[in-house]
Amino acid sequence: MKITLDFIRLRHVTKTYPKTKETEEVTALDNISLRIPEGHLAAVVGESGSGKTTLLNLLGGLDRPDSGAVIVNGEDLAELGERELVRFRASRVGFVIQTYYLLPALTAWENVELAMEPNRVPSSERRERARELLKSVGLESRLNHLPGQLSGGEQQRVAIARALANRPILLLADEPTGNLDKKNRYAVLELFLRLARENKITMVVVTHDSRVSERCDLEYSLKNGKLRPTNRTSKKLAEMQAEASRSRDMAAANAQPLARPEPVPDGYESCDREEPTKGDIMP
Amino acid sequence: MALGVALVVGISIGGFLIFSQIAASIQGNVAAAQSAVKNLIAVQSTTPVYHEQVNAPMTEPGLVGKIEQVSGVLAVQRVSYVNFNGGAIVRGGAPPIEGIDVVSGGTLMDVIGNGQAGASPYTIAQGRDLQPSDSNSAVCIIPAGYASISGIGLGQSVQENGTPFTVVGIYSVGDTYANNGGPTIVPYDPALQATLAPGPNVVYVTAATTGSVYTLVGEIQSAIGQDYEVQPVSDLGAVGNDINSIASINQEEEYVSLAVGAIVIGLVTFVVTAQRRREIGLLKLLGFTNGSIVSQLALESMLWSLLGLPIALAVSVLAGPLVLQSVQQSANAGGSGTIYSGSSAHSVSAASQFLAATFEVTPSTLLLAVLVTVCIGLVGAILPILRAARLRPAEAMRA
Ligand SMILES: Nc1ncnc2c1ncn2[C@@H]1O[C@H](COP(=O)(O)OP(=O)(O)OP(=O)(O)O)[C@@H](O)[C@H]1O
Ligand SMILES: [Mg+2]
Repeated sequence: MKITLDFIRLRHVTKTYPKTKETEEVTALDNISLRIPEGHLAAVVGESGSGKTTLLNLLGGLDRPDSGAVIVNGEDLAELGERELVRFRASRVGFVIQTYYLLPALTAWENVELAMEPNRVPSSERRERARELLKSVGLESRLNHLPGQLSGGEQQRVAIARALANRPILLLADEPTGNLDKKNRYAVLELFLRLARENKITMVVVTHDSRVSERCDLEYSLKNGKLRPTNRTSKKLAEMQAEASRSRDMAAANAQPLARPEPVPDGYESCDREEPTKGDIMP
Repeated sequence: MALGVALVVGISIGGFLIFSQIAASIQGNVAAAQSAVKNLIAVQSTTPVYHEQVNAPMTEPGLVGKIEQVSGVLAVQRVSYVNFNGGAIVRGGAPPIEGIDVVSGGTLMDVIGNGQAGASPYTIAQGRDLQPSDSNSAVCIIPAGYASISGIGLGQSVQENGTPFTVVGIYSVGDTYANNGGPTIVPYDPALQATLAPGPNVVYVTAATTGSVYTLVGEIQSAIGQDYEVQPVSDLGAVGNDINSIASINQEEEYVSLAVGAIVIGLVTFVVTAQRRREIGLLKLLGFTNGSIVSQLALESMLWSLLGLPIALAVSVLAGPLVLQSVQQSANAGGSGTIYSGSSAHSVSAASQFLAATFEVTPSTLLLAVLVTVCIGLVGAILPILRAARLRPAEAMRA
C-alpha cells in the first residue's frame, strides 16, 4: 500500500495577529515547517496560547498564513480561492473545534446531519449516516437530546461524530478528549487510531494530555511559535522517508531503462495515493 | 428567542396599526369636511342686532330671502346659537353652551338644544327622525340618555325656553356623554319662535359651482349691503386651521408610532442576529457558502417577524378601542372650533367628531404592516449577517 508521505506539508509558515488599538502584535506561528504522512495520527502539544488552534485553523482553511505554504493532499491552501476553500472545508475536512460548538436548537442527531447539508447528501442517507456515527461514539440512546440536555463529554462526542460525517480525508481536532473521563478518552483515541489505519484518514489532534500524545503516531510540540517534532517523531519520519526512497529505487530499476528518475525536491516523495475507501468509515 | 422577537414585533406593529387606523379615520373625515367646505360662503352681521338670549350677532329677518334671489346660489342654511343660560335646558352636567344648530336636510330641519356635543351623526333608537313636513310643528327628538334619566318617552313633551315640544323620536350617538348631554333637536322655525330671536347668527350659502365662489361673494355682498361680512368658509382662518391641526396631529402620531415600531423591530433583529456570529462561523466551518448562510438566516429572521403579526392583530383589536376612546376624550377636552359643511350641513364642535365611533383594522393597513414588518426584520438582520459572513471562519467562531 502506497501512501503520500507529505499528505500535510507546511513550509516556512508564519502567522501574525497584527497590532490593534487594544492588543499587541502576536506572532502565533513563527516560520514553522511540518510534514504528516497520510493515514497518520499526529498530536500537537503545547502550552495554552502557544498557537495550537492557530495551526489547526490554517490546516483546515479557516484562516490564511501571512507567508509560507500550507499543502494538504497536494493543494496549497494559500493559493485556493474563497469558493474552492469552502468546497475543501465541506468535503475534505472534519473539525472538532475546541469549544465543540453545537447549534443549541438542534438535536444531537440534527447537528450531525447539518454537516452533510453543504455536500447535498440525500436526507434519508444523512439521517442514517448520522445515526451510525452517533452510535459509534456511544450515543445511540441520546439521538434526540438537545445540546443543553447533554453532558459536556457527550456534546464533545456529538462534535466528533459531526466531524466524521462527510468522510473527511483530514480530521482536525482541538482538545477532543479534554472533557472526557478515562474510559471515554481511550475509546475516542482508539476510534481515531482505527480510522487512521483503516480509512487512511490523516489526523491532527491538539492535546494537553501526554498519555494521549504518546499513543499517537507522531508528536509535535509547539512553544513560542516554534514547532518541533519529538525525537521519536524525527526518527520515525526519517525511517519512512528512507523506506520510500528505497522502494522508489526498486521501482526505477524495474522500469524501462529509458525512464530517467527526475530529481526529487526536498520532502516531496510520492504522489501515489489510493482513493479512500468509499465504504463505511466507521469500525 | 424567536418568541421574544415575535412579541416585540407584535407590540410594535400593534401600536402602529392602532394609530394608523385612527389617523386614517380622521383623515377620511377631514378630507370630506374640507371638500364640503370648498363651495360654502358664510354671511355674518357686522352691525349686529343683539338679543338677550343670543350669544352672537343676529341677522335681520328677511336676509335669507335676499340671498336666495342672487343667481348662482344653490342652497341657504341658517345657523343660530342661542344661550339658555337663564336655565331651561342645562342637563347631564354639561357646561352651559347651548345652541340652535343646523343638522340635516338643508332647508328646514334645524336644532335647538344645549348643543354640548354639537350634532354628531345620530341614529334613531325609538320613534322617528324629523322630516321636512315638520317644519312648522312644535316636535322634537331627544337623546336616549336624557330620555332614560328623565323618564320622558315618545308622545310626552319637553319644555325648551318655556315652549313645549312633543317628543316624536329618541336618538342615540356613539358615546354616553353625548347621549346624556346631546341637544333636543327641533325644526328651525319653531326654535326661533321659542327663543324670540330675529334671525340666524350665520347664513351659509352653497355656491352652485366651486369655481364661482369668489364672484358669488361679490354678488351677495352687493345684494345685501355693507352691514354684512361675506366670506368663503375656506378663508375663515379658524376653520381651516382647525381642520389642518386635527389632521396633522394625528398624522404625526401615526408616523411616530410607525417610526418607533420600525426602530424597535430593527434593533431587536439586529441584536439577536449579532449574537448569532458563532453560529455563522460554524456554518462556514462546515462548508456552507456565504450565499446560502445569508439567505437562510435572512429568511429565518423574516419569519420570526411574521410570527409577530398575530400578536400585532391581537394587540390592536384589544387595545385599539381603548386608545380610540382616550384620543376622543383628549380631543373633546381640546374642544376645537366649529365647522359647517355643505348641503347636508353638519355642525362639528370637537375633534372627536372626526373620529369613527368604532375601531377597526382594514386589510390595507394590515398589508402595510406585514410589508413594513418583513422589510424592517430583513434590514435589521442583514447587516450583522453580512458582517459575520464576510469574516474568515476562524474569526467568526471566536466567542
Ligand atoms: N484573533 C486574534 N487576534 C489577536 N491575537 C490572537 C488571536 N487569536 C489568537 N491570538 C493570540 O495568538 C496566540 C495563540 O493563540 P491560539 O488560540 O492558537 O492558542 P492555543 O495554543 O490554541 O491556546 P489554548 O491551548 O489556550 O487553546 C495567543 O497568544 C493568542 O492571544
Ligand atoms: Mg486553542
